[in-house]
Amino acid sequence: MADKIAFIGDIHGDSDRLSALLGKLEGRSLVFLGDYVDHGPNSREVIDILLETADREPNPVFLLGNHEIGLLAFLSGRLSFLEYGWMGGLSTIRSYIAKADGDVRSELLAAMPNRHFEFLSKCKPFFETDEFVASHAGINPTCPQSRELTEIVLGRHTSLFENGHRPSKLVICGHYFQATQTPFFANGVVCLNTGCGTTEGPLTTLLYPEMTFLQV
Amino acid sequence: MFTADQVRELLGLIQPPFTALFLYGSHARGDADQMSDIDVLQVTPTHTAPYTVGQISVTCYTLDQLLRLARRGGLFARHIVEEALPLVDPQDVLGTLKSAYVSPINYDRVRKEVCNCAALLDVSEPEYLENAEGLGSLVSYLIRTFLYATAFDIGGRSFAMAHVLDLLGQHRAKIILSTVRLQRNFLAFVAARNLFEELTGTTCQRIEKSPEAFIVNASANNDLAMILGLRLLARGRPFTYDVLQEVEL
Repeated sequence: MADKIAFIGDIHGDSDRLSALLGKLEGRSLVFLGDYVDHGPNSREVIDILLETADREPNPVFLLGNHEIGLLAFLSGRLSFLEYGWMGGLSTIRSYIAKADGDVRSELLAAMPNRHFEFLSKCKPFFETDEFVASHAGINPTCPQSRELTEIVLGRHTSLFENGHRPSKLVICGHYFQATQTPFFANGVVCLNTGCGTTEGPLTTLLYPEMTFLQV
Repeated sequence: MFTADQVRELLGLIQPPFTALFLYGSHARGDADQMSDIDVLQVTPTHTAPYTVGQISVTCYTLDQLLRLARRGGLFARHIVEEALPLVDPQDVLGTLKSAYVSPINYDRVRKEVCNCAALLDVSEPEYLENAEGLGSLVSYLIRTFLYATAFDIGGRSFAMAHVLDLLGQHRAKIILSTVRLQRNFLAFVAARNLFEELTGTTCQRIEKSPEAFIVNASANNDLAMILGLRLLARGRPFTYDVLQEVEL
């Protein structure tokens, strides 16, 4: 992995912003923080772009978001249509199926390319070095050693953003919507979910080790 | 109006979390009768399905959703902006919504969205019986929304349904709406569905083979059909993102 890293926040189907961003990150290793799908209009195209990136870039890291888990759980029947729909999955389904007709789950399974399914299945729960830990939902401040999926991808650790708490190494996450559309960076925690694909907010990237931000 | 004790009792029945709570509808206007629901808006941190507790009907929205509705001049936003009474509102959400609210030129878009929900009412008697409560509420909601939009476009100003029906001369609708609210049977539902078709000039027919497929297709350009469709499938069950925590991974 190169010395310089770009950590990329929640994308949520906004392929235009993703394309615009990737042209600006040459010479850096890429770490995507998850939530590539749902809400925004072009989830299928986002995964296509990420697959092209995987073919082109040396060892990009794709982390798992709760929405990727939601999509996989819907595809395998562990999450109902209703539950996935409430999560914002209808736009993802539409990005694969021009027109739904009957059994939506089967139609989505038939329409989704194998490469997409493999991509989703191979996303990693976290990426960690001596200096930082990157995962979609951060870490649980009351159980900081845990790397369980339910904690670091599906957890909701809002106390990460409270004063008085400082993790032993830098925590880089997405997931927690920053209503100001600016990234959170304080107390050794960085959060990059600025509403891309959900509220027309920008796609935010952390440039490491400079600790500066890039938004498109 | 509610007494302090009644408000306390009401607050005890609300399922947390919430950032603000408002009373709206007939109890907020002061024209409620014994049969009137108590309409409560619960502002939630994440998307949550509506629920009922006894006579209390709780509608849940995130602040972002409400702001979007307010900026689009939606009927529900107007409802809240004009008549909501804060029960809990430490961050002045109501003030924020009032500032964001943009009054529309007319309600053509609302009527169009309502018409595009017609397929949700395309159910057989057995299908109706599986979700009589949800379908009764849905047809009633669609008719009422269409009538509000029509009344406001000819100068109506009140959300009191009795005023709206008087203004539009819809006295038969009054009886049908009252019947579908009190009687959960297929005939009452069909009478209301026929009224919906008559008022809107639409046919309640679904082209897709499943309601899920209709909801997917409708969600491309009709948020109302998507939300009402998902609520219909939810049958009053609350939903939070925590559902994934319970999925076997």
